[in-house]
Amino acid sequence: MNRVSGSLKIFTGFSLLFFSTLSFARESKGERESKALVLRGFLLTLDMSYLRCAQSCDMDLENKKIMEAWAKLKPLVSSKKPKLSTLFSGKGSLEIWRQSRRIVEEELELNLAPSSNLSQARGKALFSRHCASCHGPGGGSDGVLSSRLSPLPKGLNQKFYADFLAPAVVYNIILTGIPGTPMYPFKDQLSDLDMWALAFYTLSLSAGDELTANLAEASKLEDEVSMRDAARLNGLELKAMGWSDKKVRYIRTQEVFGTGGSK
Amino acid sequence: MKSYKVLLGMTLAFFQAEAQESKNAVKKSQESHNYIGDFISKALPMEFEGKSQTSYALSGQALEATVRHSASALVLPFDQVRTVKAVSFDWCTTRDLSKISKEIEKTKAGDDAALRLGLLLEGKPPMIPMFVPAWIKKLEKIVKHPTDKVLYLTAGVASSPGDSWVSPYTKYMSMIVPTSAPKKLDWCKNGFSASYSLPSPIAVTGLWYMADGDDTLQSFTTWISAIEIK
Repeated sequence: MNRVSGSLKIFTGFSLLFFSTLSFARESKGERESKALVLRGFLLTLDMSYLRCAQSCDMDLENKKIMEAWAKLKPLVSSKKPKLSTLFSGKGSLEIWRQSRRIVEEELELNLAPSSNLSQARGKALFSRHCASCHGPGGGSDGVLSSRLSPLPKGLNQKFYADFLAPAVVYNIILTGIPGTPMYPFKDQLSDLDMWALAFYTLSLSAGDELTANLAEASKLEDEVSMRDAARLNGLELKAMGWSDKKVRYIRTQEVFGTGGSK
Repeated sequence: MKSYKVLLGMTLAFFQAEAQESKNAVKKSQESHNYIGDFISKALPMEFEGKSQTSYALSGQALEATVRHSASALVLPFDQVRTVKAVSFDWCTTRDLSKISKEIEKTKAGDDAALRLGLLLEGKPPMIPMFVPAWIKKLEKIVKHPTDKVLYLTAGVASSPGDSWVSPYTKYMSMIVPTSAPKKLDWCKNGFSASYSLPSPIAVTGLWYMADGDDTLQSFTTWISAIEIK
């Protein structure tokens, strides 16, 4: 009887330990997800300031916004991330913000590229379903609801976006939405891969006309740029790597990663 | 004596709860508006020149539209402008979509739908030249607030949910396909529940309901019920 009672106690003890570990793991996953969302919200602030100032802005005001957002975020960031502690302490500039985004992305290990190949056709279908009524079928801000929305949805077919936006930035906007505007978050409606397909397709709208190229050229381009870089770098950054305008347009408008493997 | 008091207390509590429940039920019924009844009793017919008319009638809880190569609508103006964020309704149809393609239904040759629930959008009315179709002039007289556009939630079409396009007949009418999920309805086989949420609230001056088969020369019946506007 004593032996049975002892085994029962051990079993109960293990069960309690197992379930408490399970609930801890679940909680920490939830915490991780909500933390990632806060970080993405911060990147959105950074990206919006970057885009505004790439055109015309009050740089000091935008930098103040970023520093305020960073101050709120700081307690969440581990002190073991040395590069982050030096960020956002001085005067802002497009270059500082661009570099800072890179550091935040890497240090905080955010999802920076699609986990598998993307389909341009899927991106197009998703755009038609979720974006066209506001942004217009070709991204020309001429959707059936455009004129009813305030602020007016962005004309995504402007060349400016091809230069200054990377798919990772568009992905972030799709995921978090833009507070205070009709652009609502899609994180509960779309899968991660669908948000990436939509992000890549959206940028193809501002990249100019589709270029025809043979398969050899396409595979050569895949050797030159990884999926991760194609997702993270904007048009200007790709050009800074020595890419021609034609190549940048190619990678944005063709299904370069649709059949090959992602790197 | 003590148990008598307890019993009395419990009885009072029971009746209070009952009274609260019935108060809530009254409040709820006041909140949900019967648009189907309004379409029958208050809506005004809208015909199109040279088109035979779709007939509309109440069938149980639903508004039944009988289409015989026809197109006409019911227009229900609101007394007050309403701010609309989301619309939902139940529907079903006998319309055959097997020969209809997404592409054709965006042209004049295929501009038909089993059901169009139109939101009349508030806005400065367009300048109306002499030669515009009579229905545009008529609509201006029916609505009680300035209206510049009709946004149709279009169901029973080949296009996919979320698809949107401008009417091939007029730039003042646009379509959006709402999401429709199968729903068991007492009054119809193969029923659906449709819903559409706008990205931000829109000012609406009335509703427009239409089932049409004039361009594709189709005959069918459509039912709509439980229209909710939030």
